[in-house]
Amino acid sequence: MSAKQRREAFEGFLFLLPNFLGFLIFFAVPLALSFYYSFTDYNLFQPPNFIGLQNYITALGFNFDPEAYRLALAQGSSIFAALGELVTPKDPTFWIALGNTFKYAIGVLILCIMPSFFLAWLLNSSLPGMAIYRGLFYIPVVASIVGSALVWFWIYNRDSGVLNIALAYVINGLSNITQNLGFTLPEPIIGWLVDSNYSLLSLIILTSWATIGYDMVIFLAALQGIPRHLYEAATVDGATRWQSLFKITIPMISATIFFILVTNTIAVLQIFSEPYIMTQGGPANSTLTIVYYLYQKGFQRFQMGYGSSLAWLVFAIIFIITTLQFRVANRWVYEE
Amino acid sequence: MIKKNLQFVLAAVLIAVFLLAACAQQPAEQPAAPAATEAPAAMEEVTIRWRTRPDNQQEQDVYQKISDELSAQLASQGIKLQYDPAPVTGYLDKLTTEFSAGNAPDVVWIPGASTADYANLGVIADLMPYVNADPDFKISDYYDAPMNELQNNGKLWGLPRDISTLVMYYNKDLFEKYGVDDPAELAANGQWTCENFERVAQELTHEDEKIYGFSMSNWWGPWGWFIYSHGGNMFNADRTACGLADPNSINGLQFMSDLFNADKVAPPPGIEGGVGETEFLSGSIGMFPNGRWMTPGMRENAQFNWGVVEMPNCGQQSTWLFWGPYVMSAKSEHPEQAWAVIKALTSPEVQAQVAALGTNIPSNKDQAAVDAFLNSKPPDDNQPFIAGAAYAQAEIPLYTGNWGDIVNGQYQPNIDNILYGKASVADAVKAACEGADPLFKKP
Repeated sequence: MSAKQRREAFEGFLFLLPNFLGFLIFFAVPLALSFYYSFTDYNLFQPPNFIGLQNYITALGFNFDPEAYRLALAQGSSIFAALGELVTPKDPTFWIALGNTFKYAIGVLILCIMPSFFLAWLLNSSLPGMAIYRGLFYIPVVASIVGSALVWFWIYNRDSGVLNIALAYVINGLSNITQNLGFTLPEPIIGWLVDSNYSLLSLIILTSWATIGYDMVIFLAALQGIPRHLYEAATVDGATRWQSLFKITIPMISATIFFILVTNTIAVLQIFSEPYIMTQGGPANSTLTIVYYLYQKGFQRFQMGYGSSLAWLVFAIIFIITTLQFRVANRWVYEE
Repeated sequence: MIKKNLQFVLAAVLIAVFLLAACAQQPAEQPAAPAATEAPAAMEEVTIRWRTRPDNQQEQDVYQKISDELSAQLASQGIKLQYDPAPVTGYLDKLTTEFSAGNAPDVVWIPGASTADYANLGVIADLMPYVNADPDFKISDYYDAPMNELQNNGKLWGLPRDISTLVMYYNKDLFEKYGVDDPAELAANGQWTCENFERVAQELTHEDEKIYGFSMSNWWGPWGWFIYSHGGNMFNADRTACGLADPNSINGLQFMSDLFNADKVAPPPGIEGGVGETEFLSGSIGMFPNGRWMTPGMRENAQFNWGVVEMPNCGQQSTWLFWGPYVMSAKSEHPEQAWAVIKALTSPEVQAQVAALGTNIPSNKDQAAVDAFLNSKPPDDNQPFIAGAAYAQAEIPLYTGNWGDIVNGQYQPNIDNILYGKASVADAVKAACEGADPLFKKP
């Protein structure tokens, strides 16, 4: 390199330096440290001791207890219940949190992707006022999650929340009709956040409400990028609206669908704010997500080594899922 | 050529500015350091940084005033106080970070149940050497219950800032509206038993009007009371095992389950400090157990006549004594002066000032402090708070295990199942103890 080129390269590096330093100090170094801590028993205050894979074994491992198995059989349990005593997880709460997180993810993906595409499709017209409608749907995305969570907390209130009041009104109205037909509808008092059967669903609805706008905007952009002449050619060939939807629209935006699927999956598997603000993981651990669990362990119960190992396990899971999505993408994503 | 040089100079200045900005953040976090280095030659003036967690702005103002007054008082010993406030939400998170970084305040308040965690981790200092060296100081000046919990293996981990007993707040207007016996009268006649409590709750409950006789927040305070009031215990005698399987504990939890699921005198509880308190404040709940800290909010927001009464007697007259100590950071550079500050902050004079506000009860048995508290009205009758201190179970710092893992991680989900009717008491207790027993540190 000539002196001039070297000089230019050096200047370029200097311009990058602040950003690079920030990246190192606030991202790369903590990341590396957390990987190191995941192999120690770090409790935030005393120097960490290296304990190898112990944290990972505790999270993923199982206890094998033939004694408890024989005892259960002797006490008259069924073979299934006794098998449950034979092999028990070392950290049952981890599996509960993981299960909750997957349920949460599937719920949000179902409630977000198709409805947001449908919304984008509806809003992809040039009727007057479209910009306002698009803006309205996007507002939940920019609203602070803390503010939204607090408002929804009161909407979900069992006795005085708007949701239950509205439901009661509708059901009472309907039961006037059904009574004439001869049967009564059950009283709808749903516990929402205080009923472990509905608590996860409540959070799923909240997260979907906050995400639909974002997905919708992206789908809208993709829809507007589809060339008009394809639809015209299809109409000439006699395609129905449904056929042009499935044969033209969806394949042309399949890359966008893939993008939405991947980014939403990555985001929703790391949900933390909603359980933290609204339910603290309850009732009975029904809304305990894996990131909230690692926060509890690491920051509230001083088991930072274990918390770090959980964080890296979450990373591994998301990495595997994303890789699988990319593999499968080759078959259904249409790229020009 | 000149232009290139100018660009180079500008880039260098930009980087320098960023670096300086980053460094400039530090002093705001550590004001103690520059203050200490200004020590004049004659008497070394030491700045003790201290912090507590006030529940509202009035309390914060009082603590700031106390800080200034004590600064003036202790100036003769060369001590200057600096009150370092922290937000209420995330108080412990911030403190944990500061302990970890080594720049925690010299003197700081922590909840009683957290004392053991910080003691076991070695971040707070043992005060016993200072007690032994101090002839004027008597441990017996303070209520026994918290002092017993603050001492472990011959060490003393702090001095209690104040105490707060669990009492039953009740809505006098609702009792009058439905013509139900007033609990204070029942208590005065020695008839405030659990049977009467259940009866009164049933008489108050009118579900069609969304009025419930009883409600509670779902944390270890209220559900723990049900256990202790029936003679049970959350742990075994030396706190190395789960105590929920004890028959008395089970009776207590069964009584609680019946209130929610069989009698239906209470709506499903929400989380601590959440829905339950707000519903009581809105006037739709007859009775609500809580600590003294709810009183300022009641004074400001309650639109009905209310009073307090001791918890009912279910066989073992019991209540909780919530407390929190001032502790000294193990890395404090001026432990002698920090000890003097802790003593001053828990002295009867300072405690009387805080008690006059009405948020908490002095931990010092001195009569002047107690009188200041008794005169802080409403409620008209503050005696139930003081009376409870005599037989209360103090908030438990668990030296033999991690409170979060055991109580929040294992007990709480199973209590949730009982409260929401998803599991029988026997099954829930079995699951809780199975999960919790391995987590205790065996001797």
